[in-house]
Amino acid sequence: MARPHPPDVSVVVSTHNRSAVLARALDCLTRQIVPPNLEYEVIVVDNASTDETQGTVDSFSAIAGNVRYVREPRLGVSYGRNTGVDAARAPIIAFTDDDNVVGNRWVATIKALMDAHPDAWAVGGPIRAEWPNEVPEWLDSRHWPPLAILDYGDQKFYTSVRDPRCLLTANLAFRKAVFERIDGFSAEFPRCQDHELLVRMWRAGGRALYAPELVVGATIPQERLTRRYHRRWHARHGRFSAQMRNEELLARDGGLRPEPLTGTYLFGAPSHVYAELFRALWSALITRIHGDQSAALRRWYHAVYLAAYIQRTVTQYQPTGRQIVVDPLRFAIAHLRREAAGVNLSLTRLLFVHVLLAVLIGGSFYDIYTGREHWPLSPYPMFSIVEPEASLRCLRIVGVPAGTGQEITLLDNDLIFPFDQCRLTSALSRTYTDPARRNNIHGQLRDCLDRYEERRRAGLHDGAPLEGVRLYEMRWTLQPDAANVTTPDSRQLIDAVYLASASAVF
Amino acid sequence: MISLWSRFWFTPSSPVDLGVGRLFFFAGVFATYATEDFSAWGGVSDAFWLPLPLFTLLHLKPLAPDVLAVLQVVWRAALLLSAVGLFTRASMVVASLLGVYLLGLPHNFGQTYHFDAVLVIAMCILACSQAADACSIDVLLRDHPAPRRSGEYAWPIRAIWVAVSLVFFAAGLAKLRYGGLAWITSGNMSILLTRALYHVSDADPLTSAGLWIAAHHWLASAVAAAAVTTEVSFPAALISRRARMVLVPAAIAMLVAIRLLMGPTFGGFLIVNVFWVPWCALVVRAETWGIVRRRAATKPAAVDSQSAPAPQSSHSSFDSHHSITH
Repeated sequence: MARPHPPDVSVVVSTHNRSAVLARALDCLTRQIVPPNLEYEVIVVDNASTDETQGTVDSFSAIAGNVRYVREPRLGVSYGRNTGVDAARAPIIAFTDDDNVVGNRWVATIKALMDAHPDAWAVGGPIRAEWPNEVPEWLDSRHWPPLAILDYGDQKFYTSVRDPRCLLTANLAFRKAVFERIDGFSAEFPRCQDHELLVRMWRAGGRALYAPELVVGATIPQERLTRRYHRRWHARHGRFSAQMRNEELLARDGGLRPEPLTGTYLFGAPSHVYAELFRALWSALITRIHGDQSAALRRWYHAVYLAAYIQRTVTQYQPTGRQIVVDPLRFAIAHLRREAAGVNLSLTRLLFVHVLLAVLIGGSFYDIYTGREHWPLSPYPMFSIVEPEASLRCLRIVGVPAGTGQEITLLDNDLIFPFDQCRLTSALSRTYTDPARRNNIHGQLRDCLDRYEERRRAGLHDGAPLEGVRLYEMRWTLQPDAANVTTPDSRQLIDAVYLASASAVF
Repeated sequence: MISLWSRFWFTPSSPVDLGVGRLFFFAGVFATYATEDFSAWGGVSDAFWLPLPLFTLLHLKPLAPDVLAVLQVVWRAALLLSAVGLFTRASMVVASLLGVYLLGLPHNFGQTYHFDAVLVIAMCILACSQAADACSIDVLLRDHPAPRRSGEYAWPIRAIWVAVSLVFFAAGLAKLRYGGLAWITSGNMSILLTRALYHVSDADPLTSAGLWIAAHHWLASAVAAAAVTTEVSFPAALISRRARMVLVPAAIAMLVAIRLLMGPTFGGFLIVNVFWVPWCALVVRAETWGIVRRRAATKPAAVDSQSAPAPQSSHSSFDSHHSITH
């Protein structure tokens, strides 16, 4: 039966081996309530199907008369939709999917919106879910993207270069002139092809109207409610997003960045993606610890998406030898420059400070790890050994006053200046216990005696004149009241030095 | 992680905290070493010479006593100038270079003490910083506008915090590493406290109270546990203000207790603690407290005259500390 005039709206449904669900979609599309003067057609593009798709379409053609079957042998939804666009006769081309259910005024609403908003190059709307019986608890609205559900709220708005929110071809209609101007769906993008088309449209100056009254329903199959599905979807999405450089498209203000896209890259991926990956992993961990499973999963899937994005980018990255060296350097310098600007420092200054910090922190940890001392850095081992018993064994130097034969302690720091007793006996102990340096003991005692006498003669202390000094190894059994401080339990002479002569007793 | 790192080191800060810290720090070092005579080390026999790795690396040797005497005068002058903030950058560089040499020199004679290491580190950090941009004569002399808040004023303070934290953390870790829990649970602390009375340190304990503690095993163990806990957990002070409020006073108390009960002098560590104090915030708080006091004093009069404006002095004072904090 001949139609009075060409259709006003062409509805394109591309399908591949889903004749079972296609019937339901076609049923809704052929029961549209439209004004008397509105004509529309339904073009079903059989995208290399091997099932009963053609039979299903023919059945509806026989009933409705405005359903057409078109065959596209090249597998790919972009091919299918472009074939549908070529076959379309109407100035408005609407897209929906074979598993979606449109309302009975869907076509009329598209026509009305396009007429009311002549500046809109495209019109889209929400996609509401028809949930199966069992929905997992974690699956809240943050997990909708893999289910192709979309809802931007109940206010109309335009998506454009300044607000590039994506609309989905499950519920999207274009003016046919758009395809003449920017070409059709890109066959290079088996997924995200609607987003890619919208980006081209936005860059060409077009706007798409989001209309909340233009509703499509999507049946959510049970198998899309598993974590495995979501994880794999995000990984796939990451790979395809990398293909269209999705993470480089947005500027800081949320708008589309002008082409050509430039920035800081590491192995082909923009630097902020690496930072975002670490942030996503970290926040996934923290959120999981806090017990918010849904948020943790969302962040984990975002990390999966970013990792896949990086993986695809790095795989495609085929650098020259120079780039392998220069790119990481450029990345590091750009990052440091940004950091420096953020804290009001120059890049040189920031590097200098980091070198200083690296020496301080790295050196300290090296000393702590190895137990070695590199003053002023140290592992600070003092008092760290557990004393096995309440005893003390150490070297002590004593003076022998001239003509008395008695011994006096040299505990007063003025007497053996610049040493104090502790520093002196430690120095003597280190010399005594080191066979290579043990011969120095005698010279050290001689130095002590000479300095004592020199300082005494200069009036710098009022100690008795000495004829010699002796070095003992002394042992104490510690007493609770420390009453035996001056009287060791035993002592052994190590060495002695006298003004007139010297004797060594090892 | 990177933003956390940047936030820790380079949060834009007022120059006041660093400037006041510089003033008190160099003044403290000057006061501590005003009477110290390093020149005598020039006369000590080579038989004692056991150089530190740093001195070996830089081929540093003890200079003649006369030269050392001159150097220490120059060092003290540099410390004083650094404190008051005159020719500050040059003074701090001289103070740090001479500080490394003069403070390090005694450690080349057989025994390395640790009480001044953190002073040397702090001096080197300050020499590389712009600590002269507040509370200095240099600022008064130059015509430039007041410096704005910058990460330049945060990192030196944080670096000194980290240096102090590493000291305590390393000391605590060494105790657990070499002594294990036995360092706390055995009678080790009792032995250490008793042994301190036997002239084993650079200075004798100021009191014999350590003997009383040593006689009570549980108390000695509690002291040991408190010491190790404070030391090991000290790095928490870097990231938590609450932890800082507890750990810094605890560490200071520990150093004071060590001096009182065991003898070793850790005066240098006490000086470095001036960098924990939020001087800028203290000034603001003091001024706010003053305003509140003044308003409280003038309240009855204000009630009498209902529409009387707030005292002008309060406003100007509030404005002034706003200009400090922001």
